[in-house]
Amino acid sequence: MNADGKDRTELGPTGAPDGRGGHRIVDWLDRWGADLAAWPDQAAASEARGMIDRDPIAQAHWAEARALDGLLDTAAVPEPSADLADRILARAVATPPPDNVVSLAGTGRRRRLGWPSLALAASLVMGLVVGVGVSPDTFDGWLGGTTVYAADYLGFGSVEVVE
Amino acid sequence: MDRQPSDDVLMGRIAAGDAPAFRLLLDRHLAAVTAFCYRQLGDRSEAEDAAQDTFLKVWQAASGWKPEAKPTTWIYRIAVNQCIDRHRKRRPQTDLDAAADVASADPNPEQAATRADLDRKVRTAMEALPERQRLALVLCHYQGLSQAEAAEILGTGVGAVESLLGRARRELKKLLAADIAQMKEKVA
Repeated sequence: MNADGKDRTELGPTGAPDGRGGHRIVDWLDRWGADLAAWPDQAAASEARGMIDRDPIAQAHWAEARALDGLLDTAAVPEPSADLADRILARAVATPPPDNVVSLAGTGRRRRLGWPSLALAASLVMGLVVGVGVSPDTFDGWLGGTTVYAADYLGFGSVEVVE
Repeated sequence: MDRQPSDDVLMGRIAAGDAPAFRLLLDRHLAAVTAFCYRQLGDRSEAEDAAQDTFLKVWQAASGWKPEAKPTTWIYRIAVNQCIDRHRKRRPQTDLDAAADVASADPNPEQAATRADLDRKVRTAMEALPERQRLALVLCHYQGLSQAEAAEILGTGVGAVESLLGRARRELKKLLAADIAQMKEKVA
């Protein structure tokens, strides 16, 4: 079984077991690279070692995978600027972590206000709307006697508040 | 023996505004995250900007980090988002000067030129890969993360990451066929 819990024989493009080992090993090498010791499925790695030992096709695929890995490793990365950490630290301490910033689990996205603040704000808005709605004088003044179904507007049902 | 605090402990301290803890986290992970950003963006200056923004987000959002997530996984997730945003905002490019800088460290000029040429070819091939294939390959091959960790960072399953890796390597084998043939002779 591999790391996904699948049967190893399902991994090859042809699904063919040994005898077509050259094809199956190339799929493993593409998924996991040429370093057999680092494969997540060590039973597959052991099987691949056997194929490489006895099958020239499998051996050629492994050599190709090692060459690709070796080629990838030639691409160097420049060292970061020596003062990069200092610059980041200086910018960070200039902007202390705000208490009201809440991360949305692992996404890196943020919202500025916590839910208690939002709930409080929503209550205030609802209070204002309902308060205005049940005051005929205010509403008549604003809307010229228009019938307003405040409860409907708030999604609480069709209670007629003002006529 | 001096026992260094774990990343989890550091994250707790950073959430409380502890600058020395943040410095320690930078010392541990900044180079790797900058290298990751460089492999994605192909430009040293942009990679440093992306790494800087990643760690500033870590500083600002540390209180939202949940202990069930490994800090490095969380940091890489932020870095991935930074790189994706930056990559989409600009045309693909390769920082050839950086390749030359890296190669110029070689005392032999001929070898340095060959190395710079190879470096450029590999980075051009990497740049040609679809974004998620490149992300999976950089996380697993260059950053040395497991497929499971890469899956968590990319918000997908292990099978999907293996599939991305398989397609990436198959494409690279086509793009770098001539160089692979030469390298095969060397490693044989």
